[in-house]
Parts: sequence; C-alpha cells; structure tokens
Amino acid sequence: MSVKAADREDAARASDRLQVLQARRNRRWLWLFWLLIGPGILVMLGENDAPSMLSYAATGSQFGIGFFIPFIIFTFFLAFIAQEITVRLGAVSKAGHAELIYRRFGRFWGNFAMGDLLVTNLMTLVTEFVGVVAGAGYFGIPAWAAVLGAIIIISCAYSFRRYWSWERMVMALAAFNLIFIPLAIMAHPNWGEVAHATLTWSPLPGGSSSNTIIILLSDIGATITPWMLFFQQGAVSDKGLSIRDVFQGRLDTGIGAILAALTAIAAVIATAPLYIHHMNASQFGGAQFAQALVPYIGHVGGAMFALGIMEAGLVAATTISTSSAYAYGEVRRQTHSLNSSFKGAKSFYGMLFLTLIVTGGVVVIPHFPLEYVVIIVNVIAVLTMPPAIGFLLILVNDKEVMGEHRNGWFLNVLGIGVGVFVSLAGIVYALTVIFPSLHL
Amino acid sequence: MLSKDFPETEPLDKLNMSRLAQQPEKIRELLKEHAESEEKTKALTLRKLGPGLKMTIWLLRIYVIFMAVVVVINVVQTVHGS
Repeated sequence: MSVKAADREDAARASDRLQVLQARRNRRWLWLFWLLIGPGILVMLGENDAPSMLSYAATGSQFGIGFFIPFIIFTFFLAFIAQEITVRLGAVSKAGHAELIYRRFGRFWGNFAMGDLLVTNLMTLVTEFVGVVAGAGYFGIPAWAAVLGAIIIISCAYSFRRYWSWERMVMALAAFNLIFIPLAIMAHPNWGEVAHATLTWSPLPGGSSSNTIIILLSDIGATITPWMLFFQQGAVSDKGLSIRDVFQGRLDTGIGAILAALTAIAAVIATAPLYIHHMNASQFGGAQFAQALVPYIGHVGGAMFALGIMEAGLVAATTISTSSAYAYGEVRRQTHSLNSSFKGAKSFYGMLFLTLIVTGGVVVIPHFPLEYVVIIVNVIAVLTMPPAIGFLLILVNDKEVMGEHRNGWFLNVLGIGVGVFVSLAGIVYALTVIFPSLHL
Repeated sequence: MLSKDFPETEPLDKLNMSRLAQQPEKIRELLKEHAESEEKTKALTLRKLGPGLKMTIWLLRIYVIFMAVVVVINVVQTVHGS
C-alpha cells in the first residue's frame, strides 16, 4: 500500500519513533545512539564549509600553528554551548527557531532575524559554490559543470523525501571532511610542536594587525553562525527528537564539535609548511592552496586538498539551503519537512532549490567579484551573531516554551559569555577598520 | 505492546511506514509527545518584553546595523587598496 501524501510525514516520523522506542526498550544503546545522531554532526561538519576551510588554510599559511590550535578548540567549545541550546529548544518545543522567534517576539523582530539569516545564508551559499568551483578547477572541470554537478548531487539527497535517508547520505558526504586529517599527517609536522602549541597557547605571531583581526574574526565565523541555530533546531524537530533524547542530542553535538575541530586543526597543520617557507598565501583560493602544497604533500595530497574544499562546499550548500527552507516554511506556516513529498511541501522544496540555483548561478557570472564575498562572508556571520545569541538565550529561558528544561544559571553564564565574546570580537574589528593605524 | 507488531531494523522502515499508515491510532500513540508539544507551541502568544529586555534587543539590532556600515567601509578600503 502506498502512503498518502498527507499522512506521509506522520508515518515517517512515527516509524522513526518506533525504532527509537524499540532500541531503548531493548537497551541497545549503540543502536539507539546511531538512530538519534545526525543534526549535531551535520551542523558542525557542515560549518567546516568552503570559506571556513579556506580561512583555516589561510591561518596555517600566514600564522603557523602556534596561537591558532587552542583558539580553534576554544571557538568550537563556544559553538557547542550555542548548539546544545538548539537541541533542547527543538526537542521540547518540536518547533523550528524561526517559528519560535515569530511567535514570541512578533513579526517586527522576526523579520529582522530572518533578514540576517537570509543575507548571511545567500552570501555563504555563493561561497560554497565558489569552493566547489575552485576544487573542481584543480581537476580541470569547468565552472558551469561543477555547479551543475553539485546541484544534481544535492538534489539526489532530497529525492528520498525522507529526513532519515537525507541525513544519512549527507552524513556520509560530510565524513569526507575528515580528509584533512591524513593531509595534516602527510605534511610531516613536528608533533612535539603541535602538542606544545595545543597546551601552551602561544601569542599571535606579528601582533594584532588589521589582517590578523580579520583572520581571527573569520575563524570565529567558521565555527559560530546564525544558520547553524536555525538548521539544528529545525533538524532536531524534523527528526522528531523527544525530551528523553536530549542526552543523545548533546552527545551528537559534542562529537560533531570534536570532529569538526580536529578537521579544522588538521587544515591549519597541513598548510603550515607555507608559513614555515615564507610563502605569501594571503590572496590564495582553494586551487592555489592545493597547487602550492604539492611540493610538501605531493600531487596526491594536492588533489585531496582540492577534493576536501569541494566536499566542504557541497555539504554546506545542502545544510545551509535546508536551514533557509526550514525557516521560510516555519514563517509561512507551511509544510517544512524532509519527510514530506515534493507535492505536499511545494514552497519548502521550492525555496530550497531556488536558493541553490540562484547562488550557484551567481558563481558562473563572468567577472562577478567573488573574492570580496569570500573574504567577508565569515566576518558578516560573526557580526550578525549577537542578536541571534540574544534571541536564543531569551527563548531558552522562556518558562512558557521550555518549562522545567530552561537554562540554569551556569548555562546562562556560558551562553552570555558566548554572546559577549562574539560582540567584543566585532567591536575590535570595527575599531581596526575605522582607525586603520590603531594597534591593539 | 505497540513496538512488538513492527520489525525493528532500519531496512524495514518502508514496511513500518506502510503498516503504520494503515493504523492511524498507532501513529497518534507514537507521536503523542510531538502532538502535545505542537499544541503547546501553537498556543504561544507574544511575550511581554520588559524595558531591560527591549533595550537589549534594540542595542543588539543597532550593533548589527553599525557593523554592516563598518563592513561596507572595509570593502571600500580593500577595493581602493588593491
């Protein structure tokens, strides 16, 4: 018997819940964990996107490993604090982030939040396709073919019309992000120095110039961005996580953060030989990094680097377009689930493919100033974060939404700490732009 | 026990979905928490914002607008510098 379109979403979610129920009843904890992981790993590895990996590559090639290994660990810790809140919000309310903002703060504030999300998502999506094109360029694939191929692969993941299948396919793709770890090993780093850098947190080489502040901000934007909040809460709600599953949701987010931090650190280590050999990599794109690294990690390593950038763009294009579609569906109060059929959720899938086609199309426009978009996209992500953290903290402390699951004082201190940190990072950036001669 | 009637492994997901589609009462039972939470969320009204909270949200909004201007200045500086 075929499942009717209208019942499909409920039947799919009920089937997922049934498996979770059976796994919990039979105390099959590993199977239970396998069933419940996904949103956390996807959001964290998805955030290791093309501009982020390029930012880490620029970091390693311009500053080496000294300051940045502990800094990256720190930023992923901040990301974990913010993302854990979305797990609880999604599991308790079963609603997406945009829906809760509109319901509790009204259309005026909701539109601002959506505006931030839309602008940062569209810009980031453009840079994801830039990454795909740059990676493909290393293998001689033309830009239009790379963009078309990427949209076809992403569409395949959606063709299942099942959240579970989509999630597993994108997770398999996201696992490819770990390719940067063997690359780091191929760069033959001095592991003693890596361990020393991790444990001691050396000062920034060359002080804090305007370029350094942009790299710092870019690395923060490589771990914490508004789309992550909207995506993970939407995915937790679409996956149907219940309050009893919050522990596994936290574990999922923690493992995602660790994997993403390891990959980010690996990218810094892999490109550090360029810093050691004083190569100016400040204007490098994905393909140039791959070519420049060939003398140190070989042709196979160069090809792996290009593939890694391509994959990072592909996975992030999938997750970011989904976050836009979730938010759009929530605001329009229309069906917004990956368990829905194309016919049953026209506006959801329409928004999803529209953003992909428009942003993919921008990349193939001749002479479009893509380099500026790539440079500032992570910076803009950080600058739009403070209000997003503000709404997140107000919602998670809202008794009517969260009941007994709202934040305690300790989690509030950590959450406010994340907000203060990203706000101060933005202020430091503004000071260096307005007063270029200022040395902080 | 509800879960006894259905296969446990992932490849049988489609079979589960088809069987469940014929038994809406079982879907309702499995999605009870989900339905309750959805009802609760639908009943949510606008939150009353105190002066402190209102000022914080406005400050954060002004922060973003100010930073947008800074980014434009930065892009102009970069374009003229290159």
